Amino acid sequence: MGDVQRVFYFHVASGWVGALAFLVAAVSGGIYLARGKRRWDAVGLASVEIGLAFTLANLISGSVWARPIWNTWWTWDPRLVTASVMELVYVAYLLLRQGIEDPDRRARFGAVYAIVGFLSVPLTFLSIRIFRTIHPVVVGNNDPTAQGTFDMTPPMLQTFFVSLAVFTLLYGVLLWHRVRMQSLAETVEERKLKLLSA
Amino acid sequence: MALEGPAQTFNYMLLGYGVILGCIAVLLASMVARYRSLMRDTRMLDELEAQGKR
Amino acid sequence: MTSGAAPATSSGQRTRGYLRAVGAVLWKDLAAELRSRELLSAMLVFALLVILVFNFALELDLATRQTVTSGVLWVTFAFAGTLGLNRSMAVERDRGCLDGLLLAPVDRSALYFGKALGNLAFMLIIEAIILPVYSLLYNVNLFLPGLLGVVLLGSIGYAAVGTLLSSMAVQARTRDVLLPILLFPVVLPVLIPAVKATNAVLLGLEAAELWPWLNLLIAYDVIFTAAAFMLFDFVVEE
Repeated sequence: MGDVQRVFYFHVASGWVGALAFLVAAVSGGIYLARGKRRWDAVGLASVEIGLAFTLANLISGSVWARPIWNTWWTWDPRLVTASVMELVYVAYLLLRQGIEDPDRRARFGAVYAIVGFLSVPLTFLSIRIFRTIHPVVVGNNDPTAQGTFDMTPPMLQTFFVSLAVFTLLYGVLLWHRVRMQSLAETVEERKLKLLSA
Repeated sequence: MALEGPAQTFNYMLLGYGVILGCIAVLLASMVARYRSLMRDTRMLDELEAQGKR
Repeated sequence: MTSGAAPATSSGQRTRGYLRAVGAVLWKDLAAELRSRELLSAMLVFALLVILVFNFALELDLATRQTVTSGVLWVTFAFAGTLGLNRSMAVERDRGCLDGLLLAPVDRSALYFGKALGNLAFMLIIEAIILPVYSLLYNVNLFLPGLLGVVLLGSIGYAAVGTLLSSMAVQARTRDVLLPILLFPVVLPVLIPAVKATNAVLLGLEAAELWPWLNLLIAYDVIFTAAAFMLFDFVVEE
């Protein structure tokens, strides 16, 4: 397969971070609806933004890998479609938030949509899965019809897990900074309002 | 695949890494830009509040 | 409104009160529509126009029709459905009905089920007109029991999610453009199995080909009705 195989480590790691980020957004949406603490809304928004960037990285790097291996930039494979629909769901999430001025309502609607969107992802995957897939399944069971499959040697496995760990750590750091920035943004917003009303 | 030797896909590898790191860089850049503008707002608010008190 | 939340003593009474509240919301929508007919006529004309456009865009001759009928039907239903969902919630908001309904001493979820059933009813009425018209225009028999079942299951899922999302969309500044953007990516797991199952019925495939899609539709309907039932409270909270 050549050097392009090496994209795999970061490709899978960014896909993993994307899915993890959207899961975190759905969970913190649930916590926000239960507790009503604005902090959880900030976590949800931050996680969605980071997830969008990583899912996009996952999609495009997959496309780059597919060009020499599958001889096409894009096929309508379940994983590809699911990832791109997921990306669209969370772009819609940002558009929804943009359209709402009242911060409480924005947080509530964001939480509801993050949960509904996340619930739909596995079903989207299943509904396209019923067709045959050509995406290689490197982790877990192997489908003989997949094209571009390879087995991982121990050093490859080590590299793979290191890159997973590093990307997860990167996600954590980004999330932490983004949440802090959100609370700064909220204080700035409050101070502006106070100044205008004074 | 092992018999015919690895395919020449080095450029695709570079492109793939470029894309992944590029996406992360764009995210970082947007976060830094927003943080800068927030800090600018904070400083402006500080000044305005100080003027208001005087 | 009926006295939906009269002090209930037994659970049976409470269930009856709940059902009465759902019925009242549903009846309000249907009665208002029977009087004005503006929503149904708009949906119907729009749906017919979509079919007309498809006719010329795809050159629906005999060979193409075999493969694209299911897709054309579901795209038509989905577009007409969006129109209906947007309108039915916008009416509530413009006339201040939503506030009135929220003040009524009924469970919020009764409001949801009433609205969802109303939206489902509108969709089914449109489908009940479109299916015979399509059969007539293109000389295909669409009145197969399997197909009617698929249409019903798909419409339930569509209305369940659509009602929740449209009640969020109408409260946003960009409401007219927002609903399809919110709805279509989430409702994709309804549209794909619905199109595939419709195709399987039309091609007369065996039941074994059809069941995976039906199971998926049923799973979606159950999951999303339950989720919308739990989340609707937060959408209308003021």
